[in-house]
Amino acid sequence: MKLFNLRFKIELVQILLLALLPLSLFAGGDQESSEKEKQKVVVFIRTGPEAEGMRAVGESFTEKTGIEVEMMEVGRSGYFSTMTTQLVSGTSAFDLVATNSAYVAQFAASQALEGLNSYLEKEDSSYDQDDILFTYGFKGDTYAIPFDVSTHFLYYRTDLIDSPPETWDEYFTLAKKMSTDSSSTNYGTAITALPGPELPKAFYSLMWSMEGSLLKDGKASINSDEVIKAANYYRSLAREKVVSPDIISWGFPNVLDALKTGAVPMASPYWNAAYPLIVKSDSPYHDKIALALVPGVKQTDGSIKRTPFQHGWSLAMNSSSRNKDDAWKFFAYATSKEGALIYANNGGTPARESALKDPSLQPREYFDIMLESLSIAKAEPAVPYYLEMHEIMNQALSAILTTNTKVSEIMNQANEQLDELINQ
Amino acid sequence: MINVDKHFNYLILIPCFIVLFLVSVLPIGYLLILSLKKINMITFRSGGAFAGLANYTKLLFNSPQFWPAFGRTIEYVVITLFLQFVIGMGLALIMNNDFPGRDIINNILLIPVMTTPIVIATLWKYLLNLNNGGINIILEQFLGIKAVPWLTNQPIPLFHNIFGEEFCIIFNLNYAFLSIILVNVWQWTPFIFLLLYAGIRTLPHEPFEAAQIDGASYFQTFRAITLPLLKPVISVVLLLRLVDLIKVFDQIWALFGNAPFARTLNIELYTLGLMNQNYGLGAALSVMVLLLSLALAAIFIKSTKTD
Repeated sequence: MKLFNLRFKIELVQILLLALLPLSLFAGGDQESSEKEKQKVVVFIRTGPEAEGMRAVGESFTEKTGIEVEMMEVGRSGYFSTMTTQLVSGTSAFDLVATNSAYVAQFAASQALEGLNSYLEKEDSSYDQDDILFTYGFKGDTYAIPFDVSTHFLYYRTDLIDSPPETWDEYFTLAKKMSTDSSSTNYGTAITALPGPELPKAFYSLMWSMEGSLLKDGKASINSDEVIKAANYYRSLAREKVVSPDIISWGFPNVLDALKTGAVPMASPYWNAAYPLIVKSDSPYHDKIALALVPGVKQTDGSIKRTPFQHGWSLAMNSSSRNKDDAWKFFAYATSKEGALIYANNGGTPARESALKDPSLQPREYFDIMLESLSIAKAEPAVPYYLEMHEIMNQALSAILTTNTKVSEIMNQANEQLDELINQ
Repeated sequence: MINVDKHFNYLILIPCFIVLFLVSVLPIGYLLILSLKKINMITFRSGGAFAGLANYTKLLFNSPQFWPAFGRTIEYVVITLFLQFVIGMGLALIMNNDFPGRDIINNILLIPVMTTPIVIATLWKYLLNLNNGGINIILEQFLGIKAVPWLTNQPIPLFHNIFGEEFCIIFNLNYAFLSIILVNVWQWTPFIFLLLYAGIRTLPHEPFEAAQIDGASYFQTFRAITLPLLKPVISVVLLLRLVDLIKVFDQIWALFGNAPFARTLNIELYTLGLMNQNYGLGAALSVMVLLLSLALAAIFIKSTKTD
């Protein structure tokens, strides 16, 4: 009978094997023995200077403890969405994560991060928590500690500008003058106005100094007179042609290019990360660009209120990690004084005061002004609806820079959206 | 009882369908479930709450970005597809003639298609910007034309003068929209050219010879013979590009991020689902984009079906 002949059997076996083959793709999974897992700490981090610095810290840690540290690097573009979906999904593929401090409250609220208070309490005095510039927490528990900090500065050409502007009014006047008088630059100044992660953050350095705030007493306050004043100032930068007409497409790389090519004599608010890139570049102006504190607002007593933005690239512990003990050991080392020095020696901007003041680190003039800026800097509010709040500001600021709709109308609408979000 | 001999051709497809089910059907099913929930990164681990059609109604009736993004997507697809087809067909007809250097030009024309879209968009961003962008340098220094603010949402003066500002805003008659169309046309027209060119090269000679004998003009020959014979190829080409254009994300993102004035449905989807981490809304919009793609494809297939 046909059913039992050899050919049939061979074909049937082949079909069954083929059918099972795709299923084998999903087999395996956790191949490593639990013993080997215990000896490896995996850090989810974005490619770039942060990963390079952290890798050096990891190598030092491995030498001292024998515990292997692996960097799970993800590209910078799309890092935030990848990091978020991985953490929230509850993967145990990594133990620690490098996150922007602004995300910490949301991650904590979604139970994706491990609280660190119980670990910190066990550290001895040599860890010196007071030396750490900031910590990031939610509802009384610390969830992340920075290993790299960022803040905004005013970048200016020392060959074109004798002394940097101190106030936003002086900044505008000078930029306006430079945009019309100068034959050596194309525009008066530059800002990062590309909608996305950057646009609102640059605005906050201005907004806070004008006494504006995102939230007041737990309610949205972005339609206050102070915020509207700041928003009108922002609009005037574009309307008065002090910045390039296509400033809405300018992200970090575009402002960097403009400074390096001499297209602008100033840029503010702009990230500290650009400074070493300019200094080490082959730009003809690499030695003619200096840093100053962001402009501010003159107070009645004559002092100047400046509120540069700050955030930290922070280490946090994945609540789904299966190796928390070893993960904490590396965490504590990476954020210790020794770890901070190693990180700084590998190109990073450390988040410890002692590291920023350490005489062995160069260039010191940059770290001096970092300390000065960070001592007065402000961070975004730690709220569980941060991402959607950021998007509301993104849309509002984009409309301010690119439409003719009244600023008050835009901010009132944004305020309603933010209030609705808070009350959800 | 299975007759292995008789049904072997079907049985051999079983592994393929298993994989397809696992990587397509299951995720789509999960997407549908997510779209019916109020669920974001905060509530993900607790499973979220059932919301019925609330996400859909929020998008349709309470989202300031949905309808502008929807209109912009349709406009972008129609205009870009039209331009790519016209230019691609023109190139295919030109390249169908023998002339010196044809093969070299043929190869050069294909370079854009072989490059990653985001690289193309990043390069074009540098070319189009007002700060020493190559295009504006050529316009100013060689053609005496004032620099054009390609990377802004300023209305195009011609349309602004004729139709007014409001019309230009509603119908995206601005430089930013023009730029995103330009970049995609530059990159993908050669793809259409290639397929149409291959189709033209395989057409039988006899109808053209007969038309020539009958004294038909070039245009008459093109309209009565070339186009009808190429219809199957044209249908496939346009359908492929239609689906691709609905999916475009990287080029627009590279040029404008998620700027509201340049947002298409895909950018809005990314913003809602992956930037804002609102999985319910993002899933609902994904389903709507999927239905839109299916509807457009179905309309297209029906309209190009031969009797």
